[in-house]
Amino acid sequence: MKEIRTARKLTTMGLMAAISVILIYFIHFPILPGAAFLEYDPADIPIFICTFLFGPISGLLLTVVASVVQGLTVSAQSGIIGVMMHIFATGSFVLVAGLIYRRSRTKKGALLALIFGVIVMTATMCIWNVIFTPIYSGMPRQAVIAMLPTAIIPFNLIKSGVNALVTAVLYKKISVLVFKKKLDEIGTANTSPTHL
Amino acid sequence: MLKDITLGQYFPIDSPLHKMDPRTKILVLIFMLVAIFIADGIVGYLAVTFFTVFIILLSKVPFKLYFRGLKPIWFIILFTGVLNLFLTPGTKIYLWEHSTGMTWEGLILAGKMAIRLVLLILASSALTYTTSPISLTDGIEKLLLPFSKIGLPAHELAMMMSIAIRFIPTLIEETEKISKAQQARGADFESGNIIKRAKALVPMLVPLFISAFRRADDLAVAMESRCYRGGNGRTRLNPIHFKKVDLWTAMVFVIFFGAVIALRFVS
Repeated sequence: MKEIRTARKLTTMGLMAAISVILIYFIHFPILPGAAFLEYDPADIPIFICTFLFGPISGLLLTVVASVVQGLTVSAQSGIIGVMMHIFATGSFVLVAGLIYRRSRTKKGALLALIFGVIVMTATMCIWNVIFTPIYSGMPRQAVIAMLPTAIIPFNLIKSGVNALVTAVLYKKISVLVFKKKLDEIGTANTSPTHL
Repeated sequence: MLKDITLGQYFPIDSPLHKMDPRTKILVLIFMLVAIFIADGIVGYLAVTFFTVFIILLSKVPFKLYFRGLKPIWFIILFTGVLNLFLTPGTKIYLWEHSTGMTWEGLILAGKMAIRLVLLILASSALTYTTSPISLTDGIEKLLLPFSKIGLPAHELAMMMSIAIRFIPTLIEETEKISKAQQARGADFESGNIIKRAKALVPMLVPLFISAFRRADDLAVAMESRCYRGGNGRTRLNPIHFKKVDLWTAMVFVIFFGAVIALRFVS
């Protein structure tokens, strides 16, 4: 956990968590007709960007921070279970995407990371929904399993796919600006992408 | 609009619950949620319901606010309730000698689940109504401190949460400014399918991220110039204390929790 202990990284991640929360606040709408509680929200975008910038462990930490702050502010009704589900969902994406992108910091690596992230997150959410939803809402487990192909899988694929897409577009633009700005400001040491 | 989110749900009044140590409240809430899940039978459900109502009365927060917190979950309760009614195996309910497809077992299960969900939300709301987000993050930091020995960055986690909470209002203002500026240039955030809407986000997100990075840099410089070097040995302006009221709450709660477990395993 050494990697987190610089003030700049700490403050950047804090602000990314804040962006994640206000994005939910401004933008959320149902994707699938008929299932109003399955809403799209762009909260994961800053978390994915932070993962690309700082690595998978920082990404996981930010996931926890952003989920808890969301639970305390904008989506307080979803309670502890909502927070935990968000941590599992985004956390699985971040871990996979972060590990892949750390191996190859190229455009191809980033795309691969995002694609695998989407797949792994959807799979994780299927598992956790089957485990958790019956306990939480008393729905029979077969009913949840029946919902997998019609609601849970398409919802998670669309949601994380769109977020991954926006991240891909955004990261390119932002990283260029961030690294360039750093070069202008600091000039010498620590300008490699890993030492923001 | 700004006001609701700055404070989260915090409702600043004077009550025994407001005075309590955030650590006590967080721990009690966690075990309360466990208790709601393991409670069984009529007595068990009555016990957790009474305890939740007791907490709500103690918080002195108007009932109206709690009801408002329940609004978003009506749909889920209804949806799972209908599924439970029709899908639970058991004796069929007959209405005027016609089978309705519903079962008595399903009806009971739906009722139980509705009570459980409502109690879960009410108990969590009691925490967020009586504790400000900042004292919650303080409490989380203190609770996680023992885990920092095995490498969990407790202080950093709490610091990031505090920074996030502090900057939410600032960034909301910024987002509103940016989205107005882009709308004036013809940006359209409201219409189109999901891909179109997501694409429309990019011109809003780029300036938002850049400004957030700039703010983060400024804040880091300010912290470093004040010799910030992490959590070790850092003192606080308003340290949190474990008081008498916390001790009483803890004792009452331990008895209650034991009773719920006993009820579950006796019956």
